[in-house]
Amino acid sequence: MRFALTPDQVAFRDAARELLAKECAPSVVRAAWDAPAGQLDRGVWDSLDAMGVLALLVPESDGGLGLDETYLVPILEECGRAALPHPVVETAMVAAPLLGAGAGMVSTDLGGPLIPCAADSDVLLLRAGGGALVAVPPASVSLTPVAVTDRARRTATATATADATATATRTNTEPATDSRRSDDEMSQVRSVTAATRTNTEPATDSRRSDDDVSQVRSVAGTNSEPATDSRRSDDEMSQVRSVPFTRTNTEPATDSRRSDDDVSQVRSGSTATTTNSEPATDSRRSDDEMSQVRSVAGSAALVTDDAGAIERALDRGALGTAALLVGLGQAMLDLTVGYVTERHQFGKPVGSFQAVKHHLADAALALELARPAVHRAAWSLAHDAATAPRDVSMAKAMASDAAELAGRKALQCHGAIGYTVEADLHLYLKRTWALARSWGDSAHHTDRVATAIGAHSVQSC
Amino acid sequence: MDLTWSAEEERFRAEARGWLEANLAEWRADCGGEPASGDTRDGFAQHLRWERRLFDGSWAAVSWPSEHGGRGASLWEWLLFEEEYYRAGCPARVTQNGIFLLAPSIFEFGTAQQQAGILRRMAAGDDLWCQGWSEPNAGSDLAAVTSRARRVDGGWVLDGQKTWTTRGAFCTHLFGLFRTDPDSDRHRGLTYLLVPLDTPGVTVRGFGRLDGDEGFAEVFFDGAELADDAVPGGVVLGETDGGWSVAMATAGSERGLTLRSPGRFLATAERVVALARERGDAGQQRRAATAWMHAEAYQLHTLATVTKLAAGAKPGAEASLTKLWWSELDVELHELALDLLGPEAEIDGPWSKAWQFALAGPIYAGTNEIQRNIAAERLLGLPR
Repeated sequence: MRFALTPDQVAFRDAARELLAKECAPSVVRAAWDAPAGQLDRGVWDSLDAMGVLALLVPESDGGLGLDETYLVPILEECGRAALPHPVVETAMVAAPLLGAGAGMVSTDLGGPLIPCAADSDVLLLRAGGGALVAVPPASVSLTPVAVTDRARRTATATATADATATATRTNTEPATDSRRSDDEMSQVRSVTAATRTNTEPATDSRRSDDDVSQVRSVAGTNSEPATDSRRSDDEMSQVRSVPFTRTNTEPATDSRRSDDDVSQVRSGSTATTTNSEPATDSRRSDDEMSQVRSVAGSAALVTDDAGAIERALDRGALGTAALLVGLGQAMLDLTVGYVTERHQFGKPVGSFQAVKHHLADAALALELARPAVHRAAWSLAHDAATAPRDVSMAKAMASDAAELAGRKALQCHGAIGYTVEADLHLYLKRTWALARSWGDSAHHTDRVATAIGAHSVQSC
Repeated sequence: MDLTWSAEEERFRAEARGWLEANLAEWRADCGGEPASGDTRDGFAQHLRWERRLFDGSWAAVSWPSEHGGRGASLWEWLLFEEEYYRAGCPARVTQNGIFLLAPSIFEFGTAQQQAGILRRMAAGDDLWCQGWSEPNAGSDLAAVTSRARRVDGGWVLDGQKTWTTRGAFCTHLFGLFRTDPDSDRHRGLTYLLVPLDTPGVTVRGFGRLDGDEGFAEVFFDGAELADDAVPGGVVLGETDGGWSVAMATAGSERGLTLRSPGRFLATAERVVALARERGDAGQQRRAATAWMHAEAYQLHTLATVTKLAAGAKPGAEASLTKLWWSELDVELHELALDLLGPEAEIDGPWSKAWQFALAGPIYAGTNEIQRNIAAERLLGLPR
């Protein structure tokens, strides 16, 4: 038993904190409020990318850092503390394990119907019919900006995702054996490969057994399967091996004439279809090609329709958001401690009055007890603990409550000065309100915990 | 970060569980029915037999060295023991004020003779210690104590009054603060004294707490003559006139994890969750989950604290936050239990009893208002 960050984890977190303090001052957050859609400044984002934060969860063999959530979550706390106006949870926590490194800035509609930073991102990760996740370029969908309280969220809604789904499905069910395969297709496949794997051979054998599948999973250095392309490189193999999820689609997907009926079946999630029917065959494929994904208009790639993988992605999103909330709460508490120490009334700092002290002690208490819950959930996800979903929900519920409490206390203790847009407090406060209700609110996650611990009677389930 | 218990720790847990389950059943059988409250005269005697059983099995003070009656367990093992203790439904420790509040100070400030003469008898329940801090006009403001000790040849003469002394009517010894420098004020000139309650000139009067049990006492000192050797190794703990720092060390223990380990709240939370499942509506079931999370968070926070202590850190002002958390958690848990029981909540049973006790939590060991001040000033750095 040792419940503390390791020196490595602390060093990483501190480096991120330092970077954010330098490059994500409140002025940067304010600039995000006013930048036109698609013109969000990426300075701090690129620095985080260079530091490896965005691909931290991606295996080293696939260009990431190969670390786990116990490293990333403390960094996300720092991102919350800085009110970073970029979709860092969506990208690093949700998309990176699904899409691999180099997907760019990813926005999602998984945390709610609204999509933060939609117009500024390189990839949108959307939920299609039947719950499947698809990746689409922002240009391929119709984005409608939404006026929200925290304009740094740069929120929009997306429509036409159903078409995107259909495109993705058709693309992925075709046997990809055509040597004239276009660059467009390749980039689609690349993104799909990263997410759906296991179908590393032409899926023509309906008798494929579980043994075969586990063989695929355990390939270590040598390819035990018939490779369709003799030029297949080691790089590609490692790509295949390194994909984090282990879906086991055993259905042959060989019919290129798949009908519209089939497609609608896919949309409604009624069958276990699809996925890329072949490994990518171009050994020269580089990360550069990933950037092509960004420019593919009107196309979409199925990322996964595996319920377990999607559930895990949602858990990662909830936990990452919980980490942001703890950081936001801490930022608001720190701001307020500074303010009430300087602000004098009745000839004394207002922070010397017990009423003010008690408000802030309550905020400190809630954050102090929420933080271990967030760190524990990170450990549970990293170790694939059976309690991980419960632990994530506990973290999100407690972090949401703690950050909201800290926000209320902070606003109250700032008095009228806090009730202005000139003071920085509202930058953190409005983010808190949004995130506390994103990726499942406190009540949703509390009910999830209630189910996990058996507080629900059979009747009320 | 490693959130797993080692095989050795799991063995320790299994051993504790086995022993507790077997001995609890035997003790309850000995009591011939439901044991009475440990804060009544009959119940206290029953609970002393339980304490004796714990001592005989070397479970009375697991983290103490074996020479003093413990088993040299690590802080981690102590946590596991506490978890198993409350999970099994073992009774409240009537010896706790000695074992958990005085003993840490004896280990830190006591001489070898004091340690040898006091600790083992404490663990065995031979000497029963109560805390003599509060006075009628010194509650939250502990530094306002006026009970005094005048130095005479071979000892001290005590005058004054202590009150709200938990289980004082059943105990044999008192530890407390007395003003030994008559010209001093506030926290200077106080001495931490160890006083046998059968000292001539000491009168103890028990009185009813909110729950009706004789769990409180007031203790009068009327020229009580306390000999230097009334306690093995001497009656002064620490330095003469230097009692405040000793008392503050004890206060840290009282607020922190040694008084209220997470195990008792985890166990209560499990029972409340079961009650909510049986008879709660959806809202109450959600409240049960919230309370359960709060207990679990206290456990996690404690694991982080013990990690720091195991690495050599000293407990600090964080104990004030901890005290706020567990005391309010205890109220939350029992309030929900009462709501779940509905009209039956007024039946004088374990839940109503525990509810009334939970309400004392935000008051004893330094009121929660004092703890919020401490947290704001020492952790957040707000001006005094």
